Amino acid sequence: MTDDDTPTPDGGHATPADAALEAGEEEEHLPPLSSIRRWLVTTNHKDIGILYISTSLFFLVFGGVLALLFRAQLWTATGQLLPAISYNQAVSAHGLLMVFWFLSPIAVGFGNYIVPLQIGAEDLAFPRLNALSYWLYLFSGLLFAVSFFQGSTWAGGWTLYAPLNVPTYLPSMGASAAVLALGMFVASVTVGGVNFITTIHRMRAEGLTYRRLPLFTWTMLLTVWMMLFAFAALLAALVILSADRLFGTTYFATTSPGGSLLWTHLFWFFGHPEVYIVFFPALGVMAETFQTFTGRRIVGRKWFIIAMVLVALQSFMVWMHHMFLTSINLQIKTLFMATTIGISLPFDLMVFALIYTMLKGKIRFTTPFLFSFGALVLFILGGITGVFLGAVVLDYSFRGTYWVVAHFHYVMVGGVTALIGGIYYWFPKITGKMYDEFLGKVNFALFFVGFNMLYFPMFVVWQTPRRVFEYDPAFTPWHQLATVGAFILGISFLVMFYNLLKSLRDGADAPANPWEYATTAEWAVDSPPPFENFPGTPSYADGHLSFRTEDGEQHTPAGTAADGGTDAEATTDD
Amino acid sequence: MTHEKLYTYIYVVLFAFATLQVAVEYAGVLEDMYWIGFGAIIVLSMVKAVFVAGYYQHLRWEPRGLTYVYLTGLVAAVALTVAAAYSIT
Amino acid sequence: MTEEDPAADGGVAVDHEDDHEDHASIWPFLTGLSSFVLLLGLSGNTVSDADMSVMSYPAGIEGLIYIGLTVVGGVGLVAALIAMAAENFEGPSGPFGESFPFEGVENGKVGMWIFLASDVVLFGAFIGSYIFTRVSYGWTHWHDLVPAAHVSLPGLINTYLLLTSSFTVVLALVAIEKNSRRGLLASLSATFLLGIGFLINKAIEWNHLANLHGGEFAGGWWLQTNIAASTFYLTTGLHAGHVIVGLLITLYLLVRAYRGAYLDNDRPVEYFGLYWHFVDIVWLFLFPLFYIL
Repeated sequence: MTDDDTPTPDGGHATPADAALEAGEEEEHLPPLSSIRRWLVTTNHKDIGILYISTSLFFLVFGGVLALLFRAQLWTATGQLLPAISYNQAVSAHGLLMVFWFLSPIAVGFGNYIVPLQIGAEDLAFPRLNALSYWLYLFSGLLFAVSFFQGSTWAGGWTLYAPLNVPTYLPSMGASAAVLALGMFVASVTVGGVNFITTIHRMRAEGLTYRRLPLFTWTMLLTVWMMLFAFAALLAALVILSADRLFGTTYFATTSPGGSLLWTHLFWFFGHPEVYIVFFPALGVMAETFQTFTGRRIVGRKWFIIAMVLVALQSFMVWMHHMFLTSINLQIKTLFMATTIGISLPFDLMVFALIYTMLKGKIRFTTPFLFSFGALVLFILGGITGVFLGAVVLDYSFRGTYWVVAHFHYVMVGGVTALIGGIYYWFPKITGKMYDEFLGKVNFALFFVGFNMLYFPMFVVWQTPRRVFEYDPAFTPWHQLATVGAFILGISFLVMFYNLLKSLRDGADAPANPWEYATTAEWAVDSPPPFENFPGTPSYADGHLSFRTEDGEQHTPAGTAADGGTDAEATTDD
Repeated sequence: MTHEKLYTYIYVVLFAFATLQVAVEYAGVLEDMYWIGFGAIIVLSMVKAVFVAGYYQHLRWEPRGLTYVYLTGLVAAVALTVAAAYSIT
Repeated sequence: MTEEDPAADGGVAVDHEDDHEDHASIWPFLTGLSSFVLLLGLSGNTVSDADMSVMSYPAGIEGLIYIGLTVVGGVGLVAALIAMAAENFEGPSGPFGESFPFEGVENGKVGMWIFLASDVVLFGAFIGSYIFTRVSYGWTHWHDLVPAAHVSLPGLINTYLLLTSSFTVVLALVAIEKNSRRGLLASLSATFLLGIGFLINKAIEWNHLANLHGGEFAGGWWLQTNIAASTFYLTTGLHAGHVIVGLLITLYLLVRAYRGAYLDNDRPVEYFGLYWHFVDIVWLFLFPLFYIL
């Protein structure tokens, strides 16, 4: 470092060699990675990303085990494995844990690790708030876990419908704790949203315009914008519910005017954007892996971005399709049926873009690509079945049945499929080790078979009512198939954990870029990246990535382009 | 005019508009022509809000992006309220 | 550097040789932990059909434990947040490459505005809930649920108090511009006192309404009496909660300003001002909706 007092750009260093020295100095202010204290005090985005990802995998197992419990109960048409109130808790907690404590946090974990690298920033805008959002997340999950021991936890469905949600029907303190835990989680999301939005808008590298922004960062940007507004509506609902449960207000009491409908409006105004909030990061992973493993930029990239933005906006205009069987008037139901059809259109565009990218590129069937491709197939199937639900007249039959359950598991767990692809894709970058490719393929095979065995039968026996553990005995073989599928799916996750842990210990060292044709900036730095990320200030001013240093030197890593295309592809169609 | 003068001016206007809203009530407008009175009072609130946002929160002189962020929240909340209220008519 | 040296919040740390960012803080962890304790304690206050009052902790040891958790959690949370605010910590400050559409402002201001936008949706949903419930009941019949004693005067007084306190926050920034420590302390103190006045006025009003003697609401008009009471107290209560948070921040700013902070760097006062004006704007809508119309 010189005595020069020209302000250095964030994390700028004189030379790459000095950078390593500086990094050591900066990281010296933090305890080493092997100490517990490090993990308690860190505010670095990479550390926090790892914390988010590992914690969310724990909640995946927690929610998954609950599902195995009630799938076991559903082995017979009149199963008695769990007492009724326990069954209700299992079903409700499974939904809450998976949607809130697994899906979004794992995406935020990847966002935390990868987004600053992709945009050329050395950390998020507010590092301590980043840590705060993680700890609020973890402790909210712990509060939810504790609520199981306070009488009973929430047993009224993940949708927390009124008037069932008031103490008259769900009197336990555990139910109140669960609601408060969810409120705490919303605080975590809001803090995180402010952080990511500020970072992505304000801290991009020179030359990195929105049009050139990597697609995973694009999806994260749209996700956090949706989160900001949707979760605020949920917070209002939860504060009101908490007041009803803790202070005796009467918003959602059975006798209150419009109480149950008020809840459904507030909840679904949040709830619909929420399903895109959980899907978009998966979509971003799919876009990245499709580009990398077909060796080309996504077909129709500009339109892909426009379609994503449209979906994010439209997601706030379809919520009443979850309310077709309430007392809302026919005119507004018709309007929302139209908007629901409308939102499927940009999705079609994105699906076609992904398919054409495969057709026009040269595919390599690595584990990440298998999972992303699998995700696309599952998402298409799930999406088509959603169209049926969007028709008011058909929804009168389908609502509250296993058709809905199968539909949303196909699309949501389809999203999870892509996120697993993301785990494999970025595992080398984050850990510096390669995973075992054969085990990865075994993982995929078990996963895909188990998934379809579990959820496809649900379409066949769609008349099974949701959240109920008695069904028509004629459906038993299909439910048994589903239960077997559930356990196979569970085993596939064991394979994944084994693969990742074994590779962490014994895997081959990963180079900076183990994937030919991956061009986003995270692949231009070591695996794992140095503490301050880059050997200079990243800049895309010349159309490709270079690192500017204090004394004007430039250091250009090979084969990078801002928008995911390769250098050779720079002149092809958009 | 200097900044202090402008802010004082606005403060006086805000004070007056608040008083005006209660005056509308005391004039009995809400008894005879409820919805007209309703409209007048809400409009007065909106004007006050615009003044506070534009001048006290300084939005008039900030990058336009900040105003749009603020407005987006407002639009979302109003849309939810209007749609929900309409759905039960 | 000694304690007397003025350092704005988040100002350059004491013992670094060069300006680089800090990376460690225990306060986020402690904030999360104390929130956990607080909310666990609050869950003990679950009402039952038999006991629908504001304080419904169970009897005996169980209740005492829950109350204890609530108090310890609450105190811990406030302490952790104050410590986090007072900590010397610098995040990345730029300049950055591309910042459209937020060029010309700093990260802190952008972050505060984004947070305020989400708070707009929060209050919007609360006000929307009130409007929805009132439409469901029958808009003009709502007055049957509200005692005659609920007049606009207390609300108007609160409007005056809050408007004036917004004005005094603006004056605080003017004082900083003029490098007047005295002016800054005076205007912040005025803001604080006006806010306290707001809360006292509200407490008197609520106490009066909750303890009515004659007429239709002879037993008092309180949270559980009817839906109009629930919506009134919870919506204005949420707002009052925001005022309380604002006053705690004002107190913190006063203490720091007394020690000479903010004259070089007015950003914390400015950001607080943005929050406080937002709280004022919300009241500008609550007042007519809950008192006049």
